Amino acid sequence: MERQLRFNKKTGDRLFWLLLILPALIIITTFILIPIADSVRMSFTEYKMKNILRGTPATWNHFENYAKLLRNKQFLPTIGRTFGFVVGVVLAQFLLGMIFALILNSNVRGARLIRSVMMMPWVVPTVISALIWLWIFQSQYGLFKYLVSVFSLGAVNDFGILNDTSWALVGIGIAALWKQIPLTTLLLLAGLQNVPDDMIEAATIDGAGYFTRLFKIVMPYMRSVIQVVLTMAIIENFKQFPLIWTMTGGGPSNSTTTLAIMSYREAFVSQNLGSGAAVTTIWMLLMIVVVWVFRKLMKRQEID
Amino acid sequence: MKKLLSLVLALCLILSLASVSALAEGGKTVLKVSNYAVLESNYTKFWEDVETGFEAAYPEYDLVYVTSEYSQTPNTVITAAGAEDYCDAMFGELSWVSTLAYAFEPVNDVLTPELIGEFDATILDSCVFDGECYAIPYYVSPFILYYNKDLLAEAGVQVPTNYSELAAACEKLAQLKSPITGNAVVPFGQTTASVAISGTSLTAFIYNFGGDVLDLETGKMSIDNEGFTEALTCLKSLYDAGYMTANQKLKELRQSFANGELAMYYDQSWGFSGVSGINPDAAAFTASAPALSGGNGSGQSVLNAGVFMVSNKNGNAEGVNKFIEYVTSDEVNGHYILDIAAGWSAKTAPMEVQAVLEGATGSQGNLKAVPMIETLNDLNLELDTLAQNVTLNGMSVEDAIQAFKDSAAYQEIGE
Amino acid sequence: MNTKSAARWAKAGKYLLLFLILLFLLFPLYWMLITSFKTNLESYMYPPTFWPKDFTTQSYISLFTENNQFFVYYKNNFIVSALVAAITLIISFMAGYALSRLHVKFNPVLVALLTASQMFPVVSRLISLYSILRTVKLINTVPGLVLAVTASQIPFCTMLMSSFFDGIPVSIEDAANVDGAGRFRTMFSIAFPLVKGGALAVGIYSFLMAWDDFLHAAILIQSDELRTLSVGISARYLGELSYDWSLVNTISIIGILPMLLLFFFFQKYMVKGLVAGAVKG
Repeated sequence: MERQLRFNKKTGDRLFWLLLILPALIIITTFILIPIADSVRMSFTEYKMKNILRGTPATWNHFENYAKLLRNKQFLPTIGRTFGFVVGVVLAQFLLGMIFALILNSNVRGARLIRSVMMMPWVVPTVISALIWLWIFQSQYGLFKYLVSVFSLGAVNDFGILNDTSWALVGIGIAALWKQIPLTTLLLLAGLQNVPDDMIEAATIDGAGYFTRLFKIVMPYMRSVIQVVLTMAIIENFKQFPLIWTMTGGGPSNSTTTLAIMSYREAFVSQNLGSGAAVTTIWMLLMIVVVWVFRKLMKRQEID
Repeated sequence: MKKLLSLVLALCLILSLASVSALAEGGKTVLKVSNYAVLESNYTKFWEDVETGFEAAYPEYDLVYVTSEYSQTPNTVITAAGAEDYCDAMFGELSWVSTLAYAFEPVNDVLTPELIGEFDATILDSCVFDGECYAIPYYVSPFILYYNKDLLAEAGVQVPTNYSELAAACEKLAQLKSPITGNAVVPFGQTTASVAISGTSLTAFIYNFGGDVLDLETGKMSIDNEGFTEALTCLKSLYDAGYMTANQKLKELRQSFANGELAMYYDQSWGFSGVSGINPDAAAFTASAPALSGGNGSGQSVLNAGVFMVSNKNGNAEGVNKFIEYVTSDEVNGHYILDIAAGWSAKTAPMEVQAVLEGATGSQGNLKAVPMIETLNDLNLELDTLAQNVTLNGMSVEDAIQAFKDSAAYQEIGE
Repeated sequence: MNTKSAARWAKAGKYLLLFLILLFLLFPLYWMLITSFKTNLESYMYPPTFWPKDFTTQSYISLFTENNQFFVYYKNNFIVSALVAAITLIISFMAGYALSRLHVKFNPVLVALLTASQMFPVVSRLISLYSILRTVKLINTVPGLVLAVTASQIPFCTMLMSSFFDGIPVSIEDAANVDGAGRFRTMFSIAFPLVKGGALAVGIYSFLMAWDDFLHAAILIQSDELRTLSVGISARYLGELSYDWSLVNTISIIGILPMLLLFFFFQKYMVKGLVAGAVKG
């Protein structure tokens, strides 16, 4: 009798499980998985906007789209730029977030209020934050130009950061940082607060200095939080599109063209959907590789 | 929880019903017109009036505008056409015709010969793509030189007619400060930002020098001419001398001009509405002149026009005819070029133009078309990058042209 | 330097760093706020003024009277975001419960699927998404947009809900089961109240993310009456003719306000929720 009940329960459980996850599964398959597969398929075809217009189907062209990409002199620099952007912003995000979290965790007055107030940039929609920074970076009237001229004591008077091919990506990085530091800080702070006090006290009694405590005890303890934070940051910055598109559209002179921008441009500006799909496929592969390598690195640290 | 669920479901149902219900009022024929300009604050009222006026004159029609951001409009139209959701007409740029021809139809297939006959034959010629005319020009808006009378007077210079005079004028103008904001004056403005229209503007700049970008007959790349190189050299020297800033979009140049910080710049004739939108008193100090001539050129500019494309794919040829007739009538069209957006009429019978265009009279006759190739968009963006390379990036003209050639070959432009 | 003055220097340095970081985070918002109260002409002054010389509410008035298409975008954004939040909550609640409570062999595959789905950017899915929705005639409709945006929220929110459930002991539900309560009843009447805080966090998070949406609406919505906020702002106010910086800053402020208010009222739950998801996940 009992065995029968358990059997029924198990099938019952399975059915219940299926029922519960079915909506999620259907939506994810239809709107995420199928489009991705379709996009990969498209990358192997010659499919341009005019195919849509004339109703002619896509023709299979094997790796031609990819070969063309490799011939594009801008392709490798674009990959380099994307990586540079991701690495730069993620590192800065982590560093500043960690510092901020450490400060907030150390008995400052009004920490709770600060913790709420600091989240404001995160809540701002991306397009609006792009506008805010566009205005600050404006090359004729912008606040940033003014501050640079003040702090350089009048040496640099005409700094339109978004017009400068060497600095435009940095400008966008600053805007991205602005939006992402709050959440990073919040999560790191929570991780910090989870570190048991007794371990720290014991270390202090043993004579360990601040930085020793930090690096030998606190950070290892926070490993999983740090991993989550860094993974989120890597993915978020790798995916970044609206911010860059609104602020510079990939210019000046392609200096802020990341893989996301390149993909959009190929598909919707040059109107070559097959080529755009190829860029995206490579981009996804790169991101998966990066995240996988990152996970491996974190695991190896654990064993150490 | 159950209550919340049922509330949410009810809400979903209501909203989906609301959005699915047809927008057309009962019994009327819907005419869909794609029109980016409805979203531009300076033009909104005009187009809304057109809608009211047209529907009043022809109550059996319901005019519906399909709107999108200016730069996104070609894509929006294409994706809709891909879904077999065709517009009956579109208001757009001449340079979009080659991309969108397949979403619309040759004007001869939709409009009556009488209607077509009202327009200047030469201009209609430049609307030809793949052997057929696909657009009705609404106004001609070449790139002309807008300048600040007061600043030029203050510097004691006459408006230049060629690029050597320009350099001399710039030197004096660079000393001045804007009477409105007090900031230093930039003498000259030429757009080089990474948007398609800037590419067209640069093409005009090259035409000033008698240069070519594409071969008019074959549509193939043809940049090994003196005019092309001279134009870029001139651009570079203006930038290096500090007489112009780079990577400015037309709207940024308009902003500077409206604030009295830009002494002269190239803009499409209708760009003046942008200037007066920022500074309503701008008309007092603005004047126009034909484009400067350089090298062996005669200051030829690009034939640019705002056009209507039409289609009978929805079987609404009659309605489209009536709409085009209405909006291009002397009254409405005349009102547009006189009061709304400065430009010259494209009709055979001449029409009054805005006072600010007086200085540039004759420009509308000294124009060269840009061949309608499919990759026009890419070409324009490459020209922008080329211009940015010789200015912002400090590349030499030879290196920049080589990079341009490489990139254009990759994009298969003009092949 | 003895330890006492070293400590004081450290403390001063700490507060200085804190001040600088907060300045970086908050000053741009202040800058936006005061620009919205400047006249257009004053906005273009260089060097810029740090407090409006001519304080004016002109942009706000013009927004409410002339440029009020903005409020259509606003309303649409609300509707879409609310629907997305509601549907995401329901679906991720159910799926998260299943993931956490029911140990089916397929679970790890599901988790892998959910994790992978978070990594795919919208840009790569746009064209196919368009074709799919076009086939079911949901282009340029609210349900179509809601479904598309919901799909991008579900992976993360499901994992989040699942980790909330992980943090709550099964004992109460077990007790209910023994008492003879059916599965659905247990889930809705017992499990749900236990994760109320988490559910609220998920709801608000997906509302915020849907509020922020740009690409989906840009491709899937074509008529002006249905446009959402980010696309509407980009289409109408970053036009081709000229920038109106004072107006742009004004609409930015108004665009942010509800989100700020929402966040401040619910931040306790939000913070707890986000933290729980990350720290345990």
